[in-house]
Amino acid sequence: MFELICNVLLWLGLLYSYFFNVLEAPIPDRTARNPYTLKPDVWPKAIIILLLICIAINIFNIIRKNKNNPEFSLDALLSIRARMCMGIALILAASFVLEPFGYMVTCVLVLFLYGLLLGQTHVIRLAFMSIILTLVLYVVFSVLLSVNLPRGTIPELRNFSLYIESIVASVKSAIM
Amino acid sequence: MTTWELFTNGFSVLMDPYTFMMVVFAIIVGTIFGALPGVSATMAVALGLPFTYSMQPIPAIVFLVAVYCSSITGGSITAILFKIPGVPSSAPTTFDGYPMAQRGEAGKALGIALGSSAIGGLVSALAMLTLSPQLTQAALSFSPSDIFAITFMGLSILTCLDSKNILRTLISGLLGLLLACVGQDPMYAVQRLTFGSGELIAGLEMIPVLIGIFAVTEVLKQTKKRDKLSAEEGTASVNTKMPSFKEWWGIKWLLARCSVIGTIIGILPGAGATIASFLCYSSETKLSKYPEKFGTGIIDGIAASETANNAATGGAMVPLLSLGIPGGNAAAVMMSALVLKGVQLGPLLLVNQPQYLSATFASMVVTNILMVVVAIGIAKIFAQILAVPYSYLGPIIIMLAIIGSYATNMSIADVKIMAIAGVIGLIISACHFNSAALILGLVLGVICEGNFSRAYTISRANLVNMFARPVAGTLMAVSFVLLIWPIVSQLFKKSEK
Amino acid sequence: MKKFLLMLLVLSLVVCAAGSASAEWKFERKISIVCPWGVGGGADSTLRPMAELLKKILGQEVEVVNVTGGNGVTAVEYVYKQPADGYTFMLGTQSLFMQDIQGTTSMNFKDEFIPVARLVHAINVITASKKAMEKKGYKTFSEMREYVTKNPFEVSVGMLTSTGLDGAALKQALEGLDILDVSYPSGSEMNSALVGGHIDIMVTGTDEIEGLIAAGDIVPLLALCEKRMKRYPDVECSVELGINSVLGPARGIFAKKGTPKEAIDALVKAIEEASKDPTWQAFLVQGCYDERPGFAGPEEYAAACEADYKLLSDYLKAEGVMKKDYYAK
Repeated sequence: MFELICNVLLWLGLLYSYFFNVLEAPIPDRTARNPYTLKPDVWPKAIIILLLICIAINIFNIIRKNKNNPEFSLDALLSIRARMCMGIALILAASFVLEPFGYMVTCVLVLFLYGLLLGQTHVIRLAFMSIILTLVLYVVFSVLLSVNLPRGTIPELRNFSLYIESIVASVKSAIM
Repeated sequence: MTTWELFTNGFSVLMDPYTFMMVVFAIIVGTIFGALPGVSATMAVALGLPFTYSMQPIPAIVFLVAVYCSSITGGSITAILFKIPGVPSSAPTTFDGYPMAQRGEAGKALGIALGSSAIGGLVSALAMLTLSPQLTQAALSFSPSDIFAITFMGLSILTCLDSKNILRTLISGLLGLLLACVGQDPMYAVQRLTFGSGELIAGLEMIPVLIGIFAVTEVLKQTKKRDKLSAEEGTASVNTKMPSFKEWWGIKWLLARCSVIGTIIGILPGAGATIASFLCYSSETKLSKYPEKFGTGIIDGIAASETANNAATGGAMVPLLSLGIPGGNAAAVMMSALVLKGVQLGPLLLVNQPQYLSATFASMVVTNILMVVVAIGIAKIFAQILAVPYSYLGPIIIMLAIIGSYATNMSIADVKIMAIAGVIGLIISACHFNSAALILGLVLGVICEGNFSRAYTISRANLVNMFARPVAGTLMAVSFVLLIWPIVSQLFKKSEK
Repeated sequence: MKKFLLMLLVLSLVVCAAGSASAEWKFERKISIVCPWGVGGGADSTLRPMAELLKKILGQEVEVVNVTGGNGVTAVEYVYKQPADGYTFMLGTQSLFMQDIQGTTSMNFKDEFIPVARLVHAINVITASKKAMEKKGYKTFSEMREYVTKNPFEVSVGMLTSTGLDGAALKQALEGLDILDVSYPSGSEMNSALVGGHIDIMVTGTDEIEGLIAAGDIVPLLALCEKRMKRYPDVECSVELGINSVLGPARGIFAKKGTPKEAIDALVKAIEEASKDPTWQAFLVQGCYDERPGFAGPEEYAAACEADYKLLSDYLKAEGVMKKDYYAK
């Protein structure tokens, strides 16, 4: 059932995009005048048409296969347990708070909360490890690989990141 | 200079103890950079740039080549152990490497990956040394329609990826192609399929989608399975049993084919290690006697992808040295390093200064051999992480996924795409779609569309003229057979019943 | 002894005071300059040697951050989100103006960013494939033009996105001619297609193809500039043929609006100093950037940007893709 719903939604979504979203800006005049150019909408439209056909057949197949199937129910939907939903929510939330909170806070929160979700019972040890691992990842990526990890846009958190960076810079200059 | 003279001349450059030390250093950092997600081979080479500021041009290129080759290899370590490809070109390695690691055969998987990387690298280095002029001419004769035909063939193999599920695999591949269209179109920068979101203007990068669909989906699946009891256990015991000679011997022709294909793809500007490994993986699936086993954890899959991506490194150096046209992004970084040193790259370089070719060759040979030793050591350290309880490892994988997708482009949008892709990965497996096919479509989509469109214009909208070329014509014919055959054969089977 | 110490104290105070008076702005931490294009590309290889010199002059890390994608839009959005504290700058060219005018940036780039200094001003050159030239039988730009007039839609021209700067320069140079325009995603793909004879001519800077020109595989036909290039004295230039097309990529540093003026001034001063450095001068020669005056201060660069904005607005308006009209009456 879940599969059927997904396929139908996908089919409808593609149909909608075919009409409204393939081209979202005008084609340059010079290009439009040239009879030998492939207009930018041809390729995606061809793919969407093929997809519409294939998914339609797939929907037909699913219905045919499950016609006399007693297990044809909302099984798959129900099998997504609460724990997994929390996992999904946590990862999505992390991707959205990364910018305002910055790397440091996000990383500690993700490591701690997801650790709890995975059944870790030693809360204090987990919290301690989250902080340590955050620092380890920071040193590896930001210090050694000079990846600019997000500092956060909330002023206090941003200043905190800058403070850490200044410590790193002074340690670096002391070593060199 | 004769080939032999080139050969000896190249190694004499490496005899200098300082240069040799730098190469060893390059191999170590290159492998580590490659293994870390978010640091692509191009970024690894760029990170190596500051070290070359004080070097002479030839040691500089020797150093950068060593970083390049070893980073491509390093990518397989994380691909196998954590299902996060360290560099994009190791993506197909995850298909078979991760299942093997899950079965406790991480050692064997890593052994195959490193060994076949070395073989691919050595073959392409040799091809570079001896066949540079011919390979260059071959590369130049590839027109957009030929390149389109190559990628189209890669796509047509889609239907063979999963013979029981042709329709769903096809849908997945097409969805991948459609996702590749998101953002500004390759020819006229017209926005498509962004649904008004500014974050999608740059299009969907392969890396965040891939990390999401593979690594994050995997963690989410594990989340469902776990209960409190297993929180303290490690994921898998790491068996360091290496592959046997018999196993190597069984894949000798595969290694040969992938080395050749990888080298050729590497030469083409615009294609590179990533395309090479995807194409080899899918074509080996087609050629295999047991295609259904691909994706379940067999050494063939790992060997195909890793041989091809290292073979592409040698290929990428060919046009750089013989024409001054970089065969890929990493080669472009090396080019900028040489230009900064006042080296005039172009067709005259090898005529006047053949030592550039010979030194690059020597560096590749030494790197590809030493790299195996170094990478095994590094892989062992990384493998220790697998013994960490999953309640620590799972969150770490998520953070690596976040950093990995952010670091490529400093883009928060990519992190969001990665997270959403992770959820979509669950839906894909619930609907029995094929995530490998989707990624293949996404990777090949941009090249495929761009070259089709260029070929279409150049041949003045005449499809017959477009493919009336030896390479393009043959490949297109083969592709159509490949595409139609599984469908036809299935129909036959049905009618027999 | 006491006297000596006192003197030392006074002296150090004076030095400090003098120091703080002369340098109103001191960069206190790492400065990031965002490059909207990839490592190894033309923009990136211009910025890296400059960053290296600035690091020496300013005594702080100057880091090049490559934020690629969306023809530069991703980088603009990235910098726009950073605080205007004088520690984040970006490299820009006219390509960003074109994205702005076409409405792909979420803000008005023209209003939200200020030009700081121009680093280089390159020249675009129309070059031809030797293989294709031999087949089609033209040798000079004028002959090529004649050929195209007689055979419309037969000559293919390579460029990097036709709605980009190359497209605009080409449109001006070949006004009214029917050509097949073919876009390439990278210079390397386009260069090899030209050498292989798959496209007939292309528009680019000359830095990446110097070696191929020297070997004769690529033939320069027309330099889009005011006077003939020093390197190729035999190659005609557009102005001498009466063609009004001198657009070439100008790469300069931009800052987000609201960046402290002192920080901008300090950076401009450092860039000016770096521009006189012999290593930079040598780089200009290697990269073919020595044909036109490179460095330009804030006022001069702003004026040049304004002129380009006007010109490109007209071009994009004619193409029917203009979304933001900065010159609407």
